[in-house]
Amino acid sequence: MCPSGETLSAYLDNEVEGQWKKGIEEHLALCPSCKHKLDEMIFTREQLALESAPDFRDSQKRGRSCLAGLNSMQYVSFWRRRIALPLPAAAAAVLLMIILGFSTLLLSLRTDYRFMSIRTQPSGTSEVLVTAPIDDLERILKSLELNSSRQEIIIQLPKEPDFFVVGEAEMFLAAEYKRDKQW
Amino acid sequence: MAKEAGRVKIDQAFFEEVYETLYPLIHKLAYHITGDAEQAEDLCHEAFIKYFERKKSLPDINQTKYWLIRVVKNISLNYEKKKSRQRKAFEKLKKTAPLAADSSEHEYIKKETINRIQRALDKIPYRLRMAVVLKEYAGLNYKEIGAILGISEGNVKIRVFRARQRLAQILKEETEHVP
Amino acid sequence: MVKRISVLILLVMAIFRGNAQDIELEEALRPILDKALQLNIIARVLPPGAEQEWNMQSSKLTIPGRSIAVKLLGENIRIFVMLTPYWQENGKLLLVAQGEVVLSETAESEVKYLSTVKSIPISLGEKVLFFPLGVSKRFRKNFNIQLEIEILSYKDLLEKSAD
Repeated sequence: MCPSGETLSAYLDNEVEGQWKKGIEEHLALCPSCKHKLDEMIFTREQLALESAPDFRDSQKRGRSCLAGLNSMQYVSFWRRRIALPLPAAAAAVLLMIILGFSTLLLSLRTDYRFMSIRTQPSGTSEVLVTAPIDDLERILKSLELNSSRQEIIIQLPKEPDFFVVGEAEMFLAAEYKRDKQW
Repeated sequence: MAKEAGRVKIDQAFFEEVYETLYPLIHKLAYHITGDAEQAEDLCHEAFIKYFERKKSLPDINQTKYWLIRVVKNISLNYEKKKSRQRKAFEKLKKTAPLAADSSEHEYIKKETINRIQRALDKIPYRLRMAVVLKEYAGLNYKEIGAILGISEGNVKIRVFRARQRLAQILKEETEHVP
Repeated sequence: MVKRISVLILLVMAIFRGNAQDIELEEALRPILDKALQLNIIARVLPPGAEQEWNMQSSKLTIPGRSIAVKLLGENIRIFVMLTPYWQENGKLLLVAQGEVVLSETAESEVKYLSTVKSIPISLGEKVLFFPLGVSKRFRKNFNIQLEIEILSYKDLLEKSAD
């Protein structure tokens, strides 16, 4: 019994194991028809191997300059990384919240506070002084809704005319663009 | 502060390593899948930009390889759909403007591929092409291919086999037509 | 924004009984003010040939790394531009513009989507032109859209207006 074409193909790809593999090998030794089928597939494989893609190096270089502009982005997103807050700091932070009465701070307190001191006033209440890193302050301010408006500008374009994409988006220095305005 | 700056450098260094190591393979795959050098470059760049913008980094270079290949597959599917739409549109055009010269066909659909092997690859259906390219040019096993394409190993086996069958057929026909 | 920060500082000061050396928060808030940037944006529709007829202006405050979104909504088109300034090591700013265009071409009832990312190094006060629909010699007969962007230091602006 001859194995199916798929099985021979899988055998060529080394996807057949153990007894099955052995069985096929024994069969191939005896069956010229199957051997021929396999040889055809090997030939196709060799043909495919001959085909080479165009040189990638220029393309790779072009890709690099494209990504260079994005590099700073990665730098910035690093600074926004959240660091786990150690337990005593969490306790102190909660105290700060209660004193300042800003419950929204609870949600944003997950950063490493650099300096902290807790003092007990004569009246018995504790005061907490915190120096938070800059990125965290930004989030504190956000949660205090000092930067509430999602920095968004919405512009309604005129109804006419119809707009079309004429090319890839471009960005130039205004000075350079005016200079080259012969187009 | 200095420690944190050091961490940034490592991330960038890892990206450089990824870009250096995997670009050739991704470019090769993109080319064999699309059959067009320009599209391959666009596809490749898009894939690496997506990787660059990824917030979480992948555990190792192997996982990154699989991730990038999966992205290439997803993007190439869109290209494929566009190609078939363009082809349909062109067929319509051909019917209504029969006097158009035949040479225009190649310019319209895609850039002419000189190599008969790639031409043969372009002729087989996208699904089959995808499987055989991953097998022959990325050297992945059925399990890996199945994971990337989201299909069973059995399905991979069938697609690779059918691709080989069709390729053999096309290549045979071509040699027969040589005057 | 300045006013609101001052209010916060007063509030904090009141709670901490006005002891100057305890007000670390104010010290810490100052750098945010120092970092603040003002983005002046002018969106123009350029008719073919002639000088621009239609424009819309807007200004927004931000800090490096924080984006400002500009949405341009038209009948058959929606353009979404995300502008993000960053400081580079050489002291220049890097402006990254991510443009997304969604076009509905009513003839084919198909929706096209395009997306690009462009970046350019600039100095404060240097004007930049961003064309989300591209520029082309061949298509000068069409109307085109242009965003003019200028970035200024907010602190400098405050100081100037204080004079």
